[in-house]
Amino acid sequence: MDQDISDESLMLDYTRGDADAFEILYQRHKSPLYRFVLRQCGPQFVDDLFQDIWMKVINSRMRYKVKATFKTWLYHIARNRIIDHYRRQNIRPVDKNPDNLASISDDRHIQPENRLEKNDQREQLMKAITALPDEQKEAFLLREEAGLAIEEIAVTTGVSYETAKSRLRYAVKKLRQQLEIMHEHR
Amino acid sequence: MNTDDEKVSELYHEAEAPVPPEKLDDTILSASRKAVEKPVGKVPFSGAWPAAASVAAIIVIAVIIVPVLRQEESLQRTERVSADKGIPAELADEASLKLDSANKSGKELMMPSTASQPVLVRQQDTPAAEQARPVSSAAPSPAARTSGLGKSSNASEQEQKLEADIDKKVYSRMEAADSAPFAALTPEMWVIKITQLIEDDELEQAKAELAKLEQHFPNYQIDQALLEKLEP
Repeated sequence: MDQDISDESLMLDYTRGDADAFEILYQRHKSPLYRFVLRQCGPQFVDDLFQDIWMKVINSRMRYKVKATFKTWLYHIARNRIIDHYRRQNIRPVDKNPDNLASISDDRHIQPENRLEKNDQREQLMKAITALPDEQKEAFLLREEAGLAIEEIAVTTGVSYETAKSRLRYAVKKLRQQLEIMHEHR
Repeated sequence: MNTDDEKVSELYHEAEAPVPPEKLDDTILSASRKAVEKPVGKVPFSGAWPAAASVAAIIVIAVIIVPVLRQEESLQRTERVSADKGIPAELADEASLKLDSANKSGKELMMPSTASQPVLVRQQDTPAAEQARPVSSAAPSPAARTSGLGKSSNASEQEQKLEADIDKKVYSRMEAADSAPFAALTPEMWVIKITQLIEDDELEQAKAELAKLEQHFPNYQIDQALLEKLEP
């Protein structure tokens, strides 16, 4: 029955004091959001940032307006928090050096061919994702974790539809290339 | 999404999918419950009590401040009267209060000193005024005080005597209050007094009062009919 209620209705219920509505929302979105933060910021920061994002949702509840989907609003908050985190820490989420992508495959190149199995493929994919440029990685994670369409990615990240689409396309292309490289080295 | 995209996506979702630790879940859910337990949107000046406080403030102003202002106004008038007529301020004060109460009740200040003669008609040389005079001397006017007359041994003895006999002092004050309205005559009251004198056929005295009225209130518009009665 809870599945029938939209995120937006649940959030409005929560603004009216229904704590159970928030719990349903939290259960729906906690895991994808957690991974969205984890993939961008790493395990050392994920818990604090994840908590901050939800606290922001809680404290901003009275300002919530159903202008876009709840998911778009949630990930917009998450994105701003992550940007703020980088700004405060003066750190970069990952080493965006494109050479790292090659180094991943190079590392694999010295591995015995039979060790490059499915698990290795996943592991390499994760490394490749980590090495993506921020905007591309963000677009990819918004699609894969949050399940946002290109229009929603554009709204969440504050860019045009074409830009969002382009970022996503480049991200997938790079990831695919990495997988192909690995496959060739098998 | 083409086949290659699907392959990347499929591989991504096959990967390990970490979830937030339970402790973090508990912390966030607990915070979410606490947030809505508090009254949402409650601001310090919301609710019905500001309206009640406003009403209370209006009542306080009406009950306390307005009478104080009236008293202040009365005191100022008393000071003016006592300064003009040279009577003790405390006596003029009582007379002024009496005048106020008469004005409030809509009565004319024409309390008869005898059955037939109103107070307004009493002059300083009437018997009632004569009775009041010793009180005036007992409580010297500011003018007398400055001239040193109040320091005379006679007055001093009288003061001591009055202080010793409180009842007598109170009685004297009451009498003085009866005679004090002379000093606090308003133009309207003066006109009544003059009218009364005309009716009693005491035209000379009425003319004298009219002259005093014109002297004290030069800007007061006297009724033409009254003036015609006094014209030769």
